[in-house]
Amino acid sequence: MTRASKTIHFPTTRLSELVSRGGGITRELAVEEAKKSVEDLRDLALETILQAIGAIEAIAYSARLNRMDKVDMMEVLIKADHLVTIAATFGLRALEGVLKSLCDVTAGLLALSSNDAAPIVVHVQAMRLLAPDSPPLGTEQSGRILGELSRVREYFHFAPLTISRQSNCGPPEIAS
Amino acid sequence: MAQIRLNLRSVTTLIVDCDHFTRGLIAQMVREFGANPPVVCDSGKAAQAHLQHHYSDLCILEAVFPDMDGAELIRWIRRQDKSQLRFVPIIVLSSYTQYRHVTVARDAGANLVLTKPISPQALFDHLAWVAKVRRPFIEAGKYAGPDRRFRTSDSPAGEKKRETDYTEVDHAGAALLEQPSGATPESRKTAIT
Repeated sequence: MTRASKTIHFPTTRLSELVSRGGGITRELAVEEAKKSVEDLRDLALETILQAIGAIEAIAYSARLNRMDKVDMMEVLIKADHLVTIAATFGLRALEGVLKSLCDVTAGLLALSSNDAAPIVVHVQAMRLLAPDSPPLGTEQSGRILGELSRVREYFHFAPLTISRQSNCGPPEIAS
Repeated sequence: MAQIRLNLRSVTTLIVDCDHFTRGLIAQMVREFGANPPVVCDSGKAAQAHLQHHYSDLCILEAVFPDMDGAELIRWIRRQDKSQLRFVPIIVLSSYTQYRHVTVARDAGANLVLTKPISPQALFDHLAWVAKVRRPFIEAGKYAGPDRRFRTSDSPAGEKKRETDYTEVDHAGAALLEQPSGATPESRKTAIT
């Protein structure tokens, strides 16, 4: 039987020392200020989304004979992944849904080593319909688009990349 | 219940994310919480280069960087022997496609792993939790980082519910847990079979 040594430290981090000093900011005020600050970034966010959508479209529509190489797919996946975060932050739910579906499909194609561009192009078209500068669609129309995209995923048997959103490790409850 | 209050005025934060907008968004939130303007890096190598010469009180990292896995950077930080840097609280933000890296980041020694998008409320609460809840720091053969075996965020009360009941330390170690803020880090050696 082997014996492996284990050291246990009980460090007091500089962060815990600093935050416990007097003064500071209450949770209510901090969150309120941060929310305002995030909202101030909305215009920049929408501009960023439009630029990224344009970049994804350029990649998708440059596919020849319905084939897209792995590097381009990776590029689409990275850009779409960033857009999911921005769209979700600013409450663009329908666009977030399309982008997540695009991530699922692209990651699935990469896993299968498939270079089929069609499922990606379909998603890119849907993404354009739900872009911030496109005419707004109703809930029913957005739902129909998302429903059609889910049929594409079902056809390829691609599961969502996240099974659950309850992935945060560690309870944030704190004694005040 | 009293309002949670944090003084982040002197706190230095390192944010590592390859997406320019997300970096700015997180940095903006941290600034509004009262912290110093954070240092931002767009790659793991840049973060390593910064940490070699500067200390950060808090690291907020993406789960994967273009040049390395986030777990690799976390392990590098946790293996900084004889440096306070190894104890630095690390919060990992995982994006939609990085979901599978959640357990990898935790097992590399992250204090918390959260999924993006993160709201100001969630970031503040988790930051407060990381700052206020003390967790033993384990250094074993394959793992260096905060003790992953915790059940509650508050000090457990009552017989057989102390943190030391499940961290395999003796009463001297338990006394260290109770030391007031400002105590120097101490360590004890134990052996496991």
